[in-house]
Amino acid sequence: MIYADHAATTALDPAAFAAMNPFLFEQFANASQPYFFASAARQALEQARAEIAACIGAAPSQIVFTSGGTESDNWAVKCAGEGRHIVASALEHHAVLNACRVMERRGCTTTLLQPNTAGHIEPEKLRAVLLSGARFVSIMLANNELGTVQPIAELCSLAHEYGALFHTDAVQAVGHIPVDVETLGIDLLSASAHKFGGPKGVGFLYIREGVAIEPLFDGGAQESGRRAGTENVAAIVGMAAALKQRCDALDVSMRQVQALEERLLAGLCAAGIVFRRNGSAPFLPGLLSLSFPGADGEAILHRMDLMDICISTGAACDSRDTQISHVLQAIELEECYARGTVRISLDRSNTVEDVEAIVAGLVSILK
Amino acid sequence: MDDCIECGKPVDFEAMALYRKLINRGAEDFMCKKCLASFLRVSVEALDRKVIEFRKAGCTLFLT
Repeated sequence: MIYADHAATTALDPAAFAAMNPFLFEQFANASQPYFFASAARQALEQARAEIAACIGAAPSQIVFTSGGTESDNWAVKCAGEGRHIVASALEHHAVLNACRVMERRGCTTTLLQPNTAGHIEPEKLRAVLLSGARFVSIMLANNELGTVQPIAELCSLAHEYGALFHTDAVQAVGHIPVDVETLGIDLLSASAHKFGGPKGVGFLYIREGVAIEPLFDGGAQESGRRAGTENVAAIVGMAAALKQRCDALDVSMRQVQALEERLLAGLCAAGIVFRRNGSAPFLPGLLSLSFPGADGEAILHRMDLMDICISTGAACDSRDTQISHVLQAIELEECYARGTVRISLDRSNTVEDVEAIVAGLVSILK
Repeated sequence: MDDCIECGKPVDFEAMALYRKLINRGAEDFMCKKCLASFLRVSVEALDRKVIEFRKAGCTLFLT
């Protein structure tokens, strides 16, 4: 099987599994208990917090563990956005978009910021919304469908000029490109472990010192009273180990994945396949949204699946309609392209042989 | 019932739905499951597994 859907999820890194193992069996204590047996779990939590903080240029006290990207996004939008005019990009994940809809029902003003056709948010468009009173901004660092990387530092600096808080959903970016919260200047950042070789069901929210944010859940005093619920120590330790692995080898893996991506694009061109890559640079390495005009993206996905190749699509069909993703709609992709869109997301675990098989598979379907 | 464009044998409802799902959404001419499997270079059993998945996912093409 060839797995080329790493933007959906990644395999657990063996280093993460090895780090998790003791906390699933011998060191299973509740980290909040005061006895000696719990001290290993407590220490592991703090070590994981410090390792994760170091990977994104934060202080350990600024990292709060959550159940993943969806919780982190919901927490940021619903609790830091409370009482503010919220603006989010139309490219956001549903974890942000649907949280915005809830806030609208609760009486907040919300505005969706349309990207340009290249998949980027233009600073002047953000400025116009800030001038109209927006005081909480949520714009993702890298888009999960297009792979486009937003100019977050510039957008954040603009938001701060108007006294707005800035949240970025960095779920697709952390562990794939360098992410430094100080360089970006952001106030809140969401991340999810399973996107970078960690286990599913765990993530974190970075919260800059001084940002007023109420807890999302009511309960115990875990995470310094910021996030109730017994910590999933094994998963948190696994997340830290996976992120450290990724960040330690980031330059090498980015180059490796970039080379695979170039090979894939060159292979399609050489075979005379007509296609368009959606969005424009800068891109996450290895994440490609490709549209084949006149083709059916869902049919391509299933036929690749029959060849034991996993990819994703940007449009799903039933017998009557084609549901084009909100991201492809936001960039105003023409329907004949949108219907024939697939997402291929490569990772350092993919090989040249994988890429050649993907190209051969696509050529056999599209020629 | 339509006939298979390859072998001329009758094409059942499930094979028509598969052809529309995997080859051409707007198709009016079809292949039987055996010919479709041969065209796609997969086994008939693999196509049967796909049909089960499509039905579970609620694909309306497969609703009788």
